Amino acid sequence: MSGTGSDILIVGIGGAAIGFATRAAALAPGARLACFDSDGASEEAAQQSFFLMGAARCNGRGCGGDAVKARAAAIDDIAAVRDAVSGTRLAIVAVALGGGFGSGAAPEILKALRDEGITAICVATTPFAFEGGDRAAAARRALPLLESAATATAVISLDDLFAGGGDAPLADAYAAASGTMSDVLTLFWRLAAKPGFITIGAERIAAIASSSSGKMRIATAHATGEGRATAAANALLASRLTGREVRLENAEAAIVGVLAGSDLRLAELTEISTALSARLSPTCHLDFGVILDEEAHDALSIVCLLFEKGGAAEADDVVGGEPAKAQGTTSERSGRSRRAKSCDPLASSSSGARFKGTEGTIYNGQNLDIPTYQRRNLPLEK
Amino acid sequence: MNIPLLAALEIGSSRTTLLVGEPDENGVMHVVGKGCVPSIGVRKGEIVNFPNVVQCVTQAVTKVVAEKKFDIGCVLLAASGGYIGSLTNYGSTPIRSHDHVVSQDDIDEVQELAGSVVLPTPTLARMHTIAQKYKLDGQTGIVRPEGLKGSTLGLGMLVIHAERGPIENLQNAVSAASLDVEDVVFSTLAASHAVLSQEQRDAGVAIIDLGGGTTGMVAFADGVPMDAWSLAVGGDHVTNDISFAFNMPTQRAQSLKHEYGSALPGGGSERIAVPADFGISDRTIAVNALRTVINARMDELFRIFRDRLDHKGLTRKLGAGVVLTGGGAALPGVAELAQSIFRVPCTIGTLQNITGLEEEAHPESFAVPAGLLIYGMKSSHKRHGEQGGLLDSLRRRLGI
Repeated sequence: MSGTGSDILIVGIGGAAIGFATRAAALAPGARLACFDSDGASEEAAQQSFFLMGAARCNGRGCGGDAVKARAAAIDDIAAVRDAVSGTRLAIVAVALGGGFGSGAAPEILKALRDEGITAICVATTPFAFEGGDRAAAARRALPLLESAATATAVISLDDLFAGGGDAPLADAYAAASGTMSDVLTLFWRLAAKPGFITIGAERIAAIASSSSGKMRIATAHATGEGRATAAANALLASRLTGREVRLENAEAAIVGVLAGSDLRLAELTEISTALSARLSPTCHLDFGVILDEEAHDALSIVCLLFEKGGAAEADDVVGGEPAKAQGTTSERSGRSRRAKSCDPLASSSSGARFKGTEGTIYNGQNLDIPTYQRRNLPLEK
Repeated sequence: MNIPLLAALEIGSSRTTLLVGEPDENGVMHVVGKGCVPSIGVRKGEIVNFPNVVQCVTQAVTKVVAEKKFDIGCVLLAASGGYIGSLTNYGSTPIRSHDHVVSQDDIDEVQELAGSVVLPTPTLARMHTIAQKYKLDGQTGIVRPEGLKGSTLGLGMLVIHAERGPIENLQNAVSAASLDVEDVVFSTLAASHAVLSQEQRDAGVAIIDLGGGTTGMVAFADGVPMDAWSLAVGGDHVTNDISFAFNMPTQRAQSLKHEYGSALPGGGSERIAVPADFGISDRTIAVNALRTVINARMDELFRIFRDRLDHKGLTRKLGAGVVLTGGGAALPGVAELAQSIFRVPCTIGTLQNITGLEEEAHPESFAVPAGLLIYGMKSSHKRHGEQGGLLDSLRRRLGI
């Protein structure tokens, strides 16, 4: 790994996600960015990182909310996508589902990334509840395609990105949700790209994502001032991550990155580690990274990637709950996708593993891409 | 110069190998050029990244050309993958002459009938059509029926088929690397030419080629191939299982497999120290656990092939047992495990009538490209009188 983040790419697909991605890249100096849309208007935000898709089909005016047209637009110009992502090891892909281009084109673009051998961690947002059933249905339709193409996928409801009350002005809600999403992407990029005191790095993230079931959650929390470590850890634990139904105990691997200034104390790391370890399963593999970031000043941030056991999670709703001084955000996969990836060895497939993206080798109803010892339930000596 | 050179290319899931061979008048193939590069862009025998595969082929060619100054223009190409299968078609014809003696016309007719099989789907293409033994009335196992007397002549024809798409992708990748494809050969069939003697074929033998992304098999009885099959499971699955079980990158899993792996369970209380990398602290892994993971996969794989042989009624015909080739054959304990499952003698294949690969640590892992060279040589001998010779054609294309 280079340690400079040059092999890590932030990708925005569709207008809203381009907004998330460009803001994230602006907060991550040195980050590589690639944005794809069929609407030329998005070029203003992404500048030279913008790639217009399907110009011959959409004339640069977008796909009008037509996911099928968006998919065709992506296929038209998939060569441009391959060129744009060349040299990438890990892609952090933002997609806003529910509209046209994100829902239709993202699976094709993720497939192109996969074919290029790139580990693609997809963070997808689903629409606000008020946006109505059609957009929610479009998101639901796109999600399985997204999940099958990405190495790992985290799904965040826009409602959950904005923790404010219903009386908040709509513009504030959008801005807050967008800001939080960008924050998630930025922290993720820093975790992967920044050489740290204890480095996690792109390769490690790629390895864990590739060997996971593909189920992922991503969470962030921030705190400042006295007691910031405890406050941030509590924010993480009290947020959707450890809410009513979502259990840390379900994680088979967790990557926790702590980003703070040079004033970070060993005792603070111990507090965070102890708090999280107490909630994780004893068999969960925990990778703990520390990134000293001079720009952090007195703030401490935690970014947490949870990779879940196949079929372990239940359908649940994301719930809020942040302490006053701290903010926490989590994402999760949709209940539909969890059901699709149940314990059934055939259904659960090898998504995320080495053979992800290839047709499963099915024999006598068994997916042979899934490790044999798992299908035979063989205990392994620790 | 007038040297009848042959070039064989195997685009495997883990390695791309180009061999150039020069046959002598005694039927021995001398490997005079070798280019090996790690494969990128091939999974389970199928191309998933076309430009990378083209690059790999180009690099393999460059290695050979830079080393030996050959001008390679045409290759025999091996193919393996879950898209390859086989079926046996039987044809029969009444003997038409008044004296009921089999004539060449009868033989031609039964060959045509047996070979005119409609494949199960239009996406399939035939790779090989191989005549098995003739049957004349109740008598089976006839090699040459002309002159024999009977009323009905029958023939079984083994048709090895493949999905068109993956085969065309392989051909296109080779073409994109500025090479012509002389022929596409099922990789395990090619390997059989490198490691099996006629005596073994006559006695009955199954060759199982343990590749990186696929495992292939050809079973022989009475000297002819009776079944051919390929499954998209290979050594990469073993590596993936280890990676998954111990939560480590595949490269680390690969090196553990090579250093400590065994197809047999066990390992006692021995533990392997895994150094810190990518942010993971030092840890140890039980050898017993590692071998449990590997054993489970290999045991399953062999049982699948045994079931196939049982189903085809071939297991009891394997007088010469099972011969293992490919990179997976280098796994310690693999022959012992296979023997316990197939319940016939199982051995690691050794290259026959091939020189130039003696220095390799595991020559059996070159069985496919080496066998391709032998296949090319035999095809050439077969065609020489009919079509002016494959070697002449190759020589022209090789520019020598």
